[in-house]
Amino acid sequence: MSSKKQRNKNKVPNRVPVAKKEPAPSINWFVALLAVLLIGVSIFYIYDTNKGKLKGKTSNGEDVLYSINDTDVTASKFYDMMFKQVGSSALGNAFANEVISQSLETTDEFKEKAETQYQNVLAYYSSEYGSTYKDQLTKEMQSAGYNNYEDIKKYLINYYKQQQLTADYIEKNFDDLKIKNISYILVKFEEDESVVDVTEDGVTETVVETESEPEEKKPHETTADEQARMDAVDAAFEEGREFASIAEEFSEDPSTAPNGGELGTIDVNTTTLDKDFQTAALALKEGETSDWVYSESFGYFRIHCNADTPESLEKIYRKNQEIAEDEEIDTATMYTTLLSSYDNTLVNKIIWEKGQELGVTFSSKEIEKQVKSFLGIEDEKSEEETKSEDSSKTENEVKTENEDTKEVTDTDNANEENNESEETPDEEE
Amino acid sequence: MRKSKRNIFLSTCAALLLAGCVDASAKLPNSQEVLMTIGKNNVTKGTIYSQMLNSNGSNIAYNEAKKVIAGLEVEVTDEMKESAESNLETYKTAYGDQFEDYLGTLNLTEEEYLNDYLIANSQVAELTTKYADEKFTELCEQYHPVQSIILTFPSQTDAENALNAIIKDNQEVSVAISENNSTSSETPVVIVNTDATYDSNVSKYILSGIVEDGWTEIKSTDEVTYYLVKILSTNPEDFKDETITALTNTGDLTSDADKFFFEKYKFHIYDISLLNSMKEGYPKLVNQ
Repeated sequence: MSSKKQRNKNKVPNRVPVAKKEPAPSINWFVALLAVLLIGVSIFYIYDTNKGKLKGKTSNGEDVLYSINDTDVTASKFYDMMFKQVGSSALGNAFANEVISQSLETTDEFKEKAETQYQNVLAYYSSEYGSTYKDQLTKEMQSAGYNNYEDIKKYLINYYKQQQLTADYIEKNFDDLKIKNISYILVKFEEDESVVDVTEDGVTETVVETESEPEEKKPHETTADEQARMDAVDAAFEEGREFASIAEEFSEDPSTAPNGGELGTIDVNTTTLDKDFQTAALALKEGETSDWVYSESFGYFRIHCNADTPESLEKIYRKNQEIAEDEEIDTATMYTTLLSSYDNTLVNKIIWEKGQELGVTFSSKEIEKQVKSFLGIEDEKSEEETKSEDSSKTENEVKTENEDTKEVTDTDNANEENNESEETPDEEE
Repeated sequence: MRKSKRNIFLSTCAALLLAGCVDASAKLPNSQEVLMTIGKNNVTKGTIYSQMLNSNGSNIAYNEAKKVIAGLEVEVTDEMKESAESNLETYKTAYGDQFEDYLGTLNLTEEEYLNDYLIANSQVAELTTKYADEKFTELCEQYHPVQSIILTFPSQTDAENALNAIIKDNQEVSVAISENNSTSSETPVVIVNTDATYDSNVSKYILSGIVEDGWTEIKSTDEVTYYLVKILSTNPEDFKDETITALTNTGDLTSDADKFFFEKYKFHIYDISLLNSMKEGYPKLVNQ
């Protein structure tokens, strides 16, 4: 072997570089295509998802609610518009909901009552409104200061708490509230008072008096006709007849006469009645009947107190609602129902007082005024003025007849007992 | 390096995906401002805003937008001002000492009550009339108004006697009415094709488009009442004012007018709560 060959044989053989294996061209294309497709689908998905969405707008850094005639109405401007119109009720509802919610613990009893009623509400609304019942319920909840139909249970729990607060308050303040169920007999003014009989030089002539200025208006003088009608009523009382029967026959108010003259249940917060009437009615005790009360607006009243104790008021309630004696009733519902016609401020007064107990602070006088306006709470200054006016009226002429000394729980029973013995009316000092 | 690129890519995709995926909701600045504190809880401006928007937002937006439109479309006339001032005096007299309290419930001063309430409402009330006037020709093609006189009689005999008296004896229509047991008025009326005031036989005849000279006797659908009908004109231009009055009394015209004017003045909503409640309460006004 030649030396050259020998040398070559001993040399470390040159390393031959191993060529890198290139991926096959088809795999690269596939990955790239996938990536493009993925990006394309993502972009389309984002576009498609967003195209149906409502786009917002800002104006001077504030969110715009709507625009009209190229004028933007921002959220804060719309807040001011809404607040001017409905701010009082929104604040009032929020106040009431918070007070009621915090005043009583949410017990299992409240939860169970709410759950039962919740099922009833759902059943009713779905039968009334079909597939749109949730929308209808949402409207009702929103008007009560809640967000949507899912808040019904919260609403119901608060409702039952409110009932309980009302019942507790009435029990504690019963005497001060002067809750009374009242009936009355009305003798109206004779019609056309401007027609009078004028006698001059022995000749009687019927003339129509011209209307005088308010300052010169003469106080009403009871006419012979009015007196005769009142005397007929008095005679019926003297015969010992029941108040209801006399009212049915003689009362000239067609809205109450058929029902024995029953007006309903009033209390110190009632504001819708004639002032003179109300003052006289609140002064009566159960079973008592007033003498004639003059009302400038209506005529002459004789007023009777049918019930002013929890027991007798319950009897009235059961009778009116046709609830059997052995059936359980909810006290709060009873008082709320009895007073619904003539005192719809009681619940709000209770809420206000409870709020004071919990501790309330308002950010401004305006906010406080709006809440008070919604609840019908007068400012303290005007309340005192009103109280001083009322106290001067308690000495208005009201005579009462005392009936039998037995506790009167049923006016029928009381009148039957009166028929057996003569009573001497006591005159108010 | 490859891993960080992938993370960036995925994050970007997620961000793009989430961006703009919710409907716009106009936020109130200072929504956390506390308006009142009861016990342990605060009631914020945002809470009150949501409540008002949910329960009254659509009605208030509609009314306020309509006032803007009315302010642009309807001029305040002296007649409107006088009428508003007269109404103001009436309310002041009716409320007496309570008038200030009444204004308080509306959160308005007396001047605001006059201008922003009484006069503004007069302008709004005129919008439908304005629309009827602007779209007069189209509306007439849609509603086919006809002017006629319609006399009602309790029997065929009465109707025929009246007809004879009017045609043969040349008696005054008013006399023929009174002498034949009718209390009708000879004042012309305008009937449109949606009018359900009159018996359908009467409406059908009047709207048929057939104009006959003189009076036509028509029997009611119950064959008890009889009518004498005289068509005066089928050309609405002859009785334009009366036609506009009749059109404004049709049920759909106010909502059609609203749609027209809300589109004209480009009413657009940028808040999803308001949009949904407007769609429910005023569906014709929302095209979004």
